[in-house]
Amino acid sequence: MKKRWVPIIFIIAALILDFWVFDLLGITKYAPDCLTAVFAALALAYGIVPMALSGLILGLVIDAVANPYVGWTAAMLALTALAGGCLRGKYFADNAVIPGVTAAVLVFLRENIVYAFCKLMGRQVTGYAALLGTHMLPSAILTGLLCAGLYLIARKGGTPVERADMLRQEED
Amino acid sequence: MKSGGSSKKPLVITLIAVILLTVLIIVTNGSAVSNWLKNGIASIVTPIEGAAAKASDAIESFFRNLFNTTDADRENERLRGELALYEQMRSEFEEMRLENERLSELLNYSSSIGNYELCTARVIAKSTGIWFRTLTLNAGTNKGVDVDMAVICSDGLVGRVTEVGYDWCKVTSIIDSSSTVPILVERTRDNCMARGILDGSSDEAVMELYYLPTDRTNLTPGDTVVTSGMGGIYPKGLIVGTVKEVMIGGEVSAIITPSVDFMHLEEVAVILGEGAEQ
Repeated sequence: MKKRWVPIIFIIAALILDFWVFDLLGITKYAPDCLTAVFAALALAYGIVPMALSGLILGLVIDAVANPYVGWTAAMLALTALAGGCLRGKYFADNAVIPGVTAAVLVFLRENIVYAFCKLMGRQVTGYAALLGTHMLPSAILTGLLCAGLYLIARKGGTPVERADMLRQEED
Repeated sequence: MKSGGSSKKPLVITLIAVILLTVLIIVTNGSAVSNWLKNGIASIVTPIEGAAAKASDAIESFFRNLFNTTDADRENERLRGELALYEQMRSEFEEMRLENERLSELLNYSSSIGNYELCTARVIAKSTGIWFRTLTLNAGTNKGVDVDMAVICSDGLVGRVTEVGYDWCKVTSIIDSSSTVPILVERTRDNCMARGILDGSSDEAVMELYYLPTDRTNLTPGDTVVTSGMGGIYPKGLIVGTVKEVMIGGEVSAIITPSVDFMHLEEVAVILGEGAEQ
């Protein structure tokens, strides 16, 4: 029963870090995207459906409350869950590296998409190289590291997935 | 088991794709559906956000008091450890005093800029990430707030209302990369424009001053820029910031440091009515 609280605790902690702590510390530019890390790690542990649905609902709430475009966070969290969930049960993904790389690549791609979107919308955004060095890469790498750690905790802390059985079935 | 999981996968992916497409439709399909959705969700979440903001302020205030005391105070507090209720009351009182100070400053500033009808509001959320700089306030149409109203704090201009619901509104700050503000240099009275910019090479929020006539370039660092009142959104005379760096040649004439500390905004005031025309 306690295992059910693992994703909820992770998500609440990620929200507090993303919305409050990083902002308070003034390190938003370099900080990892905790929600993406959490959703990538949990999708690997729990599967696509629960995490994609949670991502859509939570993302819509976040967008409606705080962001200028509705659907942005929702789509990104659902895509994260989709990418993470596709690796679920794969023998090569049951380690810290693959989830970490997945989360890092997703954050890097997303930030590039937002950059292109801002440019297309005529927003005053300058210095791609500087943004790459000071925001996109640090944020992606930190998100990847965080996701790797979270996946190991989620796996060790006990998820509803019976990993041993799953891997055995995979081998069969 | 394995085959069951595999057969479900296309269905799941299709489901996700459909939902994603729906979300994208909401994003691109204009304001009607999007506003309905935002109104619905925000009306539920805004009171929760307000309560959470108050709780976080109380915690912050508690820790501030804890670390800002002398040895004697700490000893005293240790001895009075069991009087938690009193401590809580003191903390709340301190928070109210600070809030009162901030609101007094806001009132003084707003009375200094003219006789405008104001609505004070609390910042209950900020946009995440570095790309967009928007704020959510706990005041909406219920308090007379409407789109394109100017928002100020005791330090100067914050931004303008871009979306409004019953008891919430979203403010696009002047440092957002989509913002432009008609300004004038206070010392030289030159009219020009300022725009928010997301500069990858700068750690702090800055704005660019542009459209300054080429024969009027005697700007010096430290010059104050205020709103010019043109454009019908921002009333004249609101402090925008100070010139940080003068640039020779090119479209941009100077870099402006905003007067408002956007990291620590708590209470703001919305100028009701059509600002520049009052």
